[in-house]
This record gives sequence, C-alpha cells and structure tokens, in this order.
Amino acid sequence: MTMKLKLLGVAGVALACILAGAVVAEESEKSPPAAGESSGADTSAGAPASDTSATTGGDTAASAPAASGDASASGDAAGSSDSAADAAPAAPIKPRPAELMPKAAHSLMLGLVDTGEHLIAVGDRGEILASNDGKNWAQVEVPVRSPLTAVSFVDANNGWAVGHDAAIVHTADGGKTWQLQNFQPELQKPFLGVLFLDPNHGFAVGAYGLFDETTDGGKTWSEVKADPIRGDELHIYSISKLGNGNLLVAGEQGLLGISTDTGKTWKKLPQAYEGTLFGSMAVGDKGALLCGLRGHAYLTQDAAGGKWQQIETNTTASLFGCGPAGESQAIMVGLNGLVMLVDTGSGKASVRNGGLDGALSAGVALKSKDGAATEASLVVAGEFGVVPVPVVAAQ
Amino acid sequence: MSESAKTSRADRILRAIEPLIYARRKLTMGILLLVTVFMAWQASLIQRDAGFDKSIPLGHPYMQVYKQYQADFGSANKILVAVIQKDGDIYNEKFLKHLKQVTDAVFFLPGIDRAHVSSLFTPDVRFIEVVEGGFFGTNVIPADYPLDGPSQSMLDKVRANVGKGNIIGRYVTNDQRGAMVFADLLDVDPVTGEKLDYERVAKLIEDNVRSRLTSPDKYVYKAKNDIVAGKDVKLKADSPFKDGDVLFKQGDLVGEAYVPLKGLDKWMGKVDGVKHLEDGTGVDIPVDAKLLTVERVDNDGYSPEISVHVVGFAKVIGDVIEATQQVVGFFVLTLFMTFLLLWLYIGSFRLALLPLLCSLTAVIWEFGLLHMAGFGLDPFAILVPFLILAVSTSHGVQYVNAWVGEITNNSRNSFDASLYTWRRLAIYGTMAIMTGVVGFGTIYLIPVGIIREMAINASLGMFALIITNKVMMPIWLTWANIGDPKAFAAKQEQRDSIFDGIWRVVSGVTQPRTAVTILVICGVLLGWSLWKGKELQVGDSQKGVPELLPDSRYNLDNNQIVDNFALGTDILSVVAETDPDSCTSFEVMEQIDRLAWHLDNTVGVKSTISLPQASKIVYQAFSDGSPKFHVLPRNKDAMIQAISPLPPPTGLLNSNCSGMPILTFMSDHRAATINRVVDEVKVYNKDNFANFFETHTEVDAAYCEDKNKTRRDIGIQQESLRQRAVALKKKGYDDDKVTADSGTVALNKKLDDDKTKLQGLTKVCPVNFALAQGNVGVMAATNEEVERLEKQILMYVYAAIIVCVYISFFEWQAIVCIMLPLGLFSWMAYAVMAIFGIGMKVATLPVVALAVGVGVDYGIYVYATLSDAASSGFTIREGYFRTLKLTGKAVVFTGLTLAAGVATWLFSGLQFQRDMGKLLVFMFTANMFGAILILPAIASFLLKPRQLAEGETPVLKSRH
Repeated sequence: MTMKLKLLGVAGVALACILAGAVVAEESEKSPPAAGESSGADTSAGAPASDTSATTGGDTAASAPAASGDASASGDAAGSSDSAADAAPAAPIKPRPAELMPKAAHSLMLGLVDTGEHLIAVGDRGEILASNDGKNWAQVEVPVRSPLTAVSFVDANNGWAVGHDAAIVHTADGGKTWQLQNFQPELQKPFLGVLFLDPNHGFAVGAYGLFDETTDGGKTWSEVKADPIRGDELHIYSISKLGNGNLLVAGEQGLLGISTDTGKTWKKLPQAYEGTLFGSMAVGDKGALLCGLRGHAYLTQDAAGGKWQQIETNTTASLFGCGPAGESQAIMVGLNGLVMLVDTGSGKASVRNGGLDGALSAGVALKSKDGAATEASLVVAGEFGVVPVPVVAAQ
Repeated sequence: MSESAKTSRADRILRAIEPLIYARRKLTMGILLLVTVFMAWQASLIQRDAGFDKSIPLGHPYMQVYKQYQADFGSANKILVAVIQKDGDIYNEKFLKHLKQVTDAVFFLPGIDRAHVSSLFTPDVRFIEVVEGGFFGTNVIPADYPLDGPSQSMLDKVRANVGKGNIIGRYVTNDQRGAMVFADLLDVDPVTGEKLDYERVAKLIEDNVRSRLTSPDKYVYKAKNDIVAGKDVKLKADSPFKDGDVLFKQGDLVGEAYVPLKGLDKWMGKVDGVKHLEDGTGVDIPVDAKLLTVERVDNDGYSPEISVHVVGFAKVIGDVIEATQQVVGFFVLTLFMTFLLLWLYIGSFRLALLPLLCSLTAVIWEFGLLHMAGFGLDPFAILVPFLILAVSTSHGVQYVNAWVGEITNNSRNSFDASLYTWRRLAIYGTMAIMTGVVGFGTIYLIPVGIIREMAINASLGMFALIITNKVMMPIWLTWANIGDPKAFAAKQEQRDSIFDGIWRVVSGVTQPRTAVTILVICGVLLGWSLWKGKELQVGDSQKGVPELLPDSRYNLDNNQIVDNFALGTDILSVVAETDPDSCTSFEVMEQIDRLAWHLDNTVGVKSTISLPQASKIVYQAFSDGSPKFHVLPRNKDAMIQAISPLPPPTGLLNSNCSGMPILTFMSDHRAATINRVVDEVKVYNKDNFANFFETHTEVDAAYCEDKNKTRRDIGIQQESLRQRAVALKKKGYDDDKVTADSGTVALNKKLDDDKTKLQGLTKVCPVNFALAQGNVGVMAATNEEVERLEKQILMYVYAAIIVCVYISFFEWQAIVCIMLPLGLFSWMAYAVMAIFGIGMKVATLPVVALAVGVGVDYGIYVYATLSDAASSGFTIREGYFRTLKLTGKAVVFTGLTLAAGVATWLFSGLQFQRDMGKLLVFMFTANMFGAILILPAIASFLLKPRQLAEGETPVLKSRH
C-alpha cells in the first residue's frame, strides 16, 4: 500500500509542479487569458538569473472568490480574441456515464461515508467506490461523470451523492447501483454537501448559495427559501444534523446557519470565524464542531448559543473535512495530508500524520466488530485517492 | 531457350568486358591506382557529421507534429544535468551556488535554446500559495537571494518554497539531495544556418559543466610563444581581430580546462582559448594544443561531495564518438585476424595479403566517394566499413581460392589461371555483390536521415567492391609469382588432402536419406523460428540509450536521474489541437483532461501533466484551496481565471492557446509500452471524435477532418519554410534575399492560403489529439517506420536476389536451392534476436537486410560449382565432393573467419556494435552451414547429372 501511495504521490507532484513553471507575475494588472501574450513571458524565461527578472511584479496576490471582478476583467481581454468557440450555438449537454478506470481509487476522492455495511467514497469524474476494509476498493457504475463532492446515507440501503453540474445520484441498494436524479450543468454551480433526514426528506447545499430540498426521496428538488443564508450567494460547504435534530449549515466567510424546524425556516448565526468553514458535525446533544481555513477549528456544546471555543490545532493548514470518530472523538483532515483527532469533550487536538500527500477532503473511523472506533482504523479521502491512514506513532 | 543460347549470352558479356581488364593491364591498374590515391585524399577530408534531426523520421506524421510545435513546446533534443550531493539536503550556500554555476554554464553552451533553460534559479520556476482572500505566487528562489552568505532564514524560505511549489521529483530529487537543470539544444543555428557541432557541445558539458565540480585538477594552458592571428590561429569571419595581431604573448594565459587532453589530442587537439578584451568581454579563440604549455593546478571549485549526471542526445553523440577510437581498434584487430587466418589457409604471405589489400582499397574508395557525394561520416554509421570489409574478404578469398584451384587442378600459369577464374566467377561474383548493393539500397526506403546516409555509404562501398574485387584483384593475380608451378600445385594438393576425409563425409548430405533428414530438420527449425520470432520486439528494450552499454557512464547517469527524480527521462507528449483561445472552453479542456486521465490509467505511464490539470490547481487555489474545487469550472470567466497564471512559458500551451500538450511520463521506452500508450491515444481520439458529433450536429466528420488536415498542412509548410531559410542562409543569403527567394515566396503563398482557409473553418470541431512530441514520440515514429518497412525491405532484398540469381544461372533450380536456406536463416535471425533481446530497430534492420546479401554469395559460389559438376556428368555426391574441394572450403573458411572477426565486436564498448556482432556471427556461420549442408541437400533432388557417353570420364568444366 505504501508503495502505491508513493506512486500516487509522484502523480501528484507531476500535476502540481506545473505551478513551478507558472509565471504569476503581472496577472493582477493585465489579466490576460493566457492567449496571445507570449512575448513578455518568453523574455522573462530567457535569462537564467532570477535576480534580473521577475523583480517588481514577482510577488503578486490575486483575490478570491472566483467569480468576482477579477474574472470579468479577464473576460474582456478574451472578448477581443473570441473565436468560433463562442459563435457556435450552445449544444445540449448530455450526461455521460462515469468511466470505470483502474486507478479510480487513486484519483481525487472527496466524499466518504460508512453506511454500516460498507464504506462508500465518491469523487472525480462521477466515480463511486465501495470497500469493506478501506484498503480494497471497487468502482461501481454511475450514470454521470461530473465530479461528486459529498455522499450521505440515511440507512444501509438509501444513499445520495451530489456534486458538480448540480448532479445528484441515488442508490437504494447500498451503493451497488445508482440513478441520476438531478443534472443541471447550465447552472454552473456544484453541490458541496448533502444530508438526508429520512428516505424521503433531504437537503443538498452548494456553491453560490445553492440550497435544494426534496421530500420525495430525490425525485424532485426545489430551492430552499432561506434568504438569511443564501442572500450573499456564498458557498455553503456543509450541512449536518445535530443531536437534538437541529440542522446546521456552514460555509464561506464564516457563514453559519441553523434550522430548528427540520429545515422549514433558517436563521443566520453569529460568526465564529471570518474565514471559510469547510465542515461541520454534531457534538453531543446540542453541540457542534466546525473546521475551516488555515487550521481554524471551533467547538461548542451549544451550537445555537454561539459560544465557540477555538481548538488549538497548531497548524495553518486548512482543514477541509471533519466527522465523528467514535463516541468522544472527531477526525479532522486537511492540507498536506494532515489528519487530526480531536477530543470532542475537551477540544484537545492531536496530529496523526501518516505521511500522506495532498489535500484531504473527508475522513471516517471504521468501527471494529465490537462497535468501538480505534485509532488504527482511520480512512481518508483526498487528492490522491481514498486510503487507510498508515499507522505511525502519534507525534 | 536452349542451353547453348544461355551460355553464349553470358559469354558475349564476358568477352566484351574481358579486354578492358586483361588487354592493357598496366594501364588499367595505373588508372585504378591513381583513382585510389585521389580517393584516399578525398577520404582524408571526410568530416564527422552528427545531427539530431537526421536521426528522426521527419516525414512521419508524428514528426510533422513534433516539428510544428517544436518552437512552442521545446524539442526532444534535450540536455538534463542533475547535480546531486552525497549527503544532506540542497539547502546550503555551497550547493545552491554550484547549482547556479551549472545553470549558467549550461546557459552559455553553444547551441542552447536559451528560452528553454530551466532550473531552480530560472524565473519560470514558481509556486502558488493560498492565503486568506486569495493566493500568492513568487519565485521559488527569492529574487533577493544572495549567492554568498545567505542567512539561515533565507535558506529555510527556499526549502519551504520548494515544498509549496510541489517541484520535488522534477526540479529537486525525491529526497532533496540534488537538483536538475533542463535545457533544449538547437540542431541548426537559426541565424547562421550552421549545424551544431555536437562533439564540441559534449566536450564542453564534460569540461565546463561536470568536471569543473568533480575534477580535483585544473589544467592551465599558456602560450609557448607569441600566438599570431592568421599564422597560428585562423580567425572567424566576424572576429574583431585581424591577421597579424598578436593574440597571446609568450606565457599569456590562453585557456583553462578541467578535463586533460588525451592521446592524439595532445598534439592534434585544440584548446578553447579566450582572449579578454578591455571592456571585460571575451572572444573565443580555439588554439592548437601544440602551441601551448599545460600546467596542472588544484581545482578550487572541486567539490568531492557533489556528483553531476548528464543525459541528452548531445552527450550520447559525445560518448559514441569517444568509443569510435575503440571501434577503429576492432577494425584493425579484425583485419589482422583475417590476415592471419588467410595466411594459414592459403599458405602464402603475399597471396594472403591480396584480398586484404583489395578490401582496404574498397573502404578507401567508399570513404572517398562518400565525401565526394557531399556526406560526412555519422558516428552511428561507423560499422558500415566493417561490413564492406567482410563482404570484400569473402569474395576475395573465393577468388584467390579459385585461382589456386585453376593452377593446381588445371596446371595453368598465373595469367591463365586469373583469366579462367575471371570467366568462371565474374558474373556470379558481381551478381552476388549486386544483391548486396540492392540490399543496402533498399534500406534507403526508411525515411530517417542517418539510415539513408548509411544506405548510400554502403552502396558506394559495394560499388567500390566490384572494382577492387573484379578488376584489381584479377590483374594483381596475373602478376602473382608462384615460383615453380608444379611445386606450388603439389603443396596445395597436399594441404587440401588433409580435409578430404571431412569433405567426403559432408558430401554425404546429397544422399537421399540424409538429404530428407536435413530438410525435415530445416522444417522444424523454420517452425520454431516462426514461433519464437513472434517475440521479436520493435524498438529498444533496455533502460537508457541502446547505443551504449547498460553500465556505461551515460546509462548509469540515466539510472541516477530516473531513480532520484520522480518523472524520469522518457516523455511522450500528445498535442491537443483546437481553435485559437479555446483553453477557456470547458468542453475543450474536459476532452484534454479526460485523455490525460486515460493515459494515467494506462500501464507504463507514471504520470501526466497538462493545462487542464494545472488549471484545476489554480481554480482550487482561487476557491480557498478546497479539493472540492479541484475541477475544471464550466463557467467561462472562472476558466479564464484558472488559466491566467499559466502563460505559454510553462510549456502547457502555445501563444494563442490552439495547442496544448499532454506530457506523459513513461516508466520505460519498450516498444510494447510505447505501443500501448500510442494506441490509447489513437482509440481515445477516435472515440472522442465520434462522441462529439452526437451532440454537435452542426458539424460532421468530413468537415473536421479537413480542418485537421489544413492545420497540419500549415505546420508542414512552416517547417519547409524554416528549412529553406536555413539552407539559403547557409549559402550566404541574408534575410531580405531569403524572403525574396522564389521558393520562399511560393511556400508563403501556400501557407497564407491555408491559413485563410483554416480561419474560414469556424465551426467548432472535437479536439484533435496529435502524436507526438518528446523523446518517446521520436521513438514511436521510428518504431512505426521500421515496423512498416521491415517486411517490405526484406521483400525487396529477396526480389533483388532472385533476379540476380536468375541472371547468374538462368534456371529456377538455382533460385530454389539458394533462396530456401537464406529464407530459413532470415526467419531464424528474428528468433535469435528475440532470444538475445535485440530489438528490430534502426541499428539492426540494416544487418538483417545485409546478412541476406552476405549469405547469398556463399550459395551462389557453391551452386555454381555444383551445377557445373552435374552438367559435366559427375554424380551429385561426387560432384559435391569436388565442389567442396574447390569452393566449399573457401565458403567454410570465409564463414568462420568473418564470424571470428565480428565475434570480437562482442567486447565493444558500444552496445549496438555488440548487438550487430551477435547477429552477424549468427548470420555468417548459419549461412555458411546453409550453403554447405542445406543447399546440396535440396540440389540433390533438383539437379540431374548429365548422362555420360559410353566410356566417357567426367571432367569438371564451367558451363560458360
């Protein structure tokens, strides 16, 4: 397994090292769509000395989010050289089935869930994988190849996976077969989280305030009326059910929202943090744990109360996912293969760095036969696939 | 056609040529000697001539793509220099200083494409970091990094940046003990049209790049006496000096080097001198080493803790050239061995010398003609003279042997013996050589520059052979003094009779039972060969380069790089072709991304890099680094943003974003691996093409095929223009004259027409995935050419042989008897190659084609005598016994001698010479056995002895 991991690491390096060749300089002023701008860049690459070139414009900062002013400037620049690509009438986009590929388990994996019977992981190109042990994974057929970002099971049989192109797929047989319930590529928005309360009633949250609800098991979906939360068109990254049945959503710019009536009405909670929150999970009866940008994580025993305790993570690596790991522990995963365990009572965090690479997106702790979670049974999903966390001495 | 008509025709030909040779022997010989002297002079002018472009099949569709995008995505002609420290990581002052030094040294090598030099110290190596509210990008080595005395915090920053840049495995070794410098070489200087001197580049890499760090010694060259321009040194046309200037005063420092001059170079070589001008710049002035004193001093840059590993075509050429001195040694050794064995065989020192002299003369003519034809000697063609030598020896021995036979058996004098031998063997011999000429000539079909030169080279050599062996040799023999003919004959008779017992036994192969047994064995061998031959690989199978030994310095360097860097050195690059500015289109990017993913899932692919993959990272960075946004955005504005930090110098797109390569890093370059990857691309391209029209009914396949073709035509014309400009500039044309040239104008016109046509084709087509760039792309093209032409070439060779054999004998029995063993051994050669793991490739294909030509003369000589014997009325067995005594023993002797000669190649320092050696040893011996054992077995069923008249005793005489 470690051998494979190494290889995966290699692929990742290959991918990421593109950036090594990137010249980010000057982008913020000119924002060219990379087309027709070769001459300037060529000269800067011409000299071997780093001190002669890339001096003034060398250090740049571009601003996020994506669809803000910066991009429209780029759009203008591209407009001048618009070609046939724009002239053609928009062809209808047809959902095509995911391709079954040998390395699927080593590709970008974003969502991970323990159904009680199997582990189900979802990810890039509509891939859905099933495993009994977290080590060996089998890809199943899925009618869509949009990247899937999250998965949720309401029981051992009924589960939903959501993702880009607003795709939603459903299984009624524990993950063996999947049916497409929603596909709206023209929306140009991804779903980022999904939660079902029972086999009929569920929610899917996503980018730019995307927030849909179904009451018929996913056959039809409608927009949730939740202006306090959706009004700013922020990314909603996660939705979770607290111990007392309240629903909690978290997202961009510290967005936090709560519903105490199974989603009929929503209200915004005061910020725990101004940065992005990527994940949330229930703690105890009323409490919750949040994880977010640059090592920020928060714990409370009363989510509605708004008193959040910042967890000492001692890292600036972003935490992209968090979930329960046994009765009193949570697993948090993030950038550069970071895996942490948090005591949900005290908020004490410990790093479980297994030598993984890339950004991790989700993690679960396998229950052993007697039902107790053990440290040695963590499985994580991320940029380089879905793998058990190698067992190394805790740091 | 009656028997007499046939012979008389041959007779007429012979009678016509005979006087040219025998009438005025002294005059003829005098002319030939003069020509030889002239050829020797021409041969001495021959230059070594290596080139990258001529080593690739430029006409192959893959290479058209390669050339079309070479300016955008760099060439396959790369130099990779890895600087690796024995212990500890690279983040220390000394190492980084060395790395900068190596980067600069590479940058200033001749022929370097300076836009494509890359290392940690070049500004194209950057990283992007996600911070709250956006991301931040800068050079991996900060612009204010001080080479001397960087602070610890600065070094830590570099270390952190390298990690963030995710360049470990490519620019930095996996364990961070070393770093890489990448560079592209230009085969031809685009300004002057001058060809790059690879030998010099290789030398400079060894000296200025490697040894500067790894040699404990430095060599300082000073002028022995004043060095005067014009007298001691020839100035270049653009030199700021003029003839008569004293460039260096006695004792002045001329140059420094880190590699000492070796062997002949101490006197013949040149030192790269530098004359410093007042403004601080230097002018390169090569000075003859013999004008300089050399002093060894300690190299203060010596860093024993550092090793430098270099790979690249230029280095291969350098190493091959270095090994050629050794090859010349083998040449001399083979010559000497052949001579010794000949001496032993003929028992006369002077007669043994004759075939050798003829062979050497043939090689001199070969080189002379080659130079006159305007070619140089390619390092990869150094084995051709060997082959000429081998073929020449084979014919020479036959000739001398037959001549001795005429003297001993028919009691003739030197002149008559030569004349009769000539009458008997001239046609057969010439035809046998002609098969060789055709054999080599057909190799010309392979559209690779080096191979074509080889074909021309060898054909010229074979032509020379006809003159030396069929004209010079007969004349020489007429003058041979054999002393007392009776004593000579008696001596030969005595020597010959030693083997009579053996020949008697061997002649048994013509007995029906033995003959059938032999044919059955042949059938079994053929079956086995056909089965085993299927395992024959096209292309290379070993790691590194196949020209050099697996444990050569170069291949060890290659292994070091492959082991220490994740990406290795085998790269196949597929170019995604589409409309300008299409990289902002999700649909286009998705098609590219999916092929990259398909390739990632192909066995033999380590990893891939492409624009979509890179832009996903940027899009993710724009989205707070969340892996859930590690995707291609459908939104066009978001896509524009995702590619904006990825301009053309990244090598991921061309200037107008109409071409985007998928760099595919492969685990090896075995043909099977290459085929698998290439097939994956082809299948994907086809499926993608078809799928596209399902949802895009506004276009159809014909429209898009036309569009793709127009795009390629543009590339082809651009390349023709480039080549034309280079050729014209070489002739001394300036830019204006090049533009005004009628050929240029015509090409430009066509180019403009096609460009206009392409612009008119505005409908969007599926992305066209064009093969191929990268070194593996070159290999794929070469393999495909070899595979396509291999059978065709053999077919032509066989057709030529059939024609030549028929012309020699005018009977179908000859064709069957001679061709069957040859065919069998051609197939067996494949099996032998499969067993030894020798691939069918550019270096071995000529051998297979040629060995057929070498084998055919054995068969022709044996068949000629045997059929003569049969028509003279001997029984087949008796006739064959006589054949063995006359020509058979010469066949056995040449077969063994040549096999022994080429066997020495197995100890060569060049892998391809070893491979050729193995093959030739097999071919020479196998064909010898074929001619001696199989041919008569077949002939015993086909040839009928002439019915003798009552009481007539058979007398062996030629049918001519």
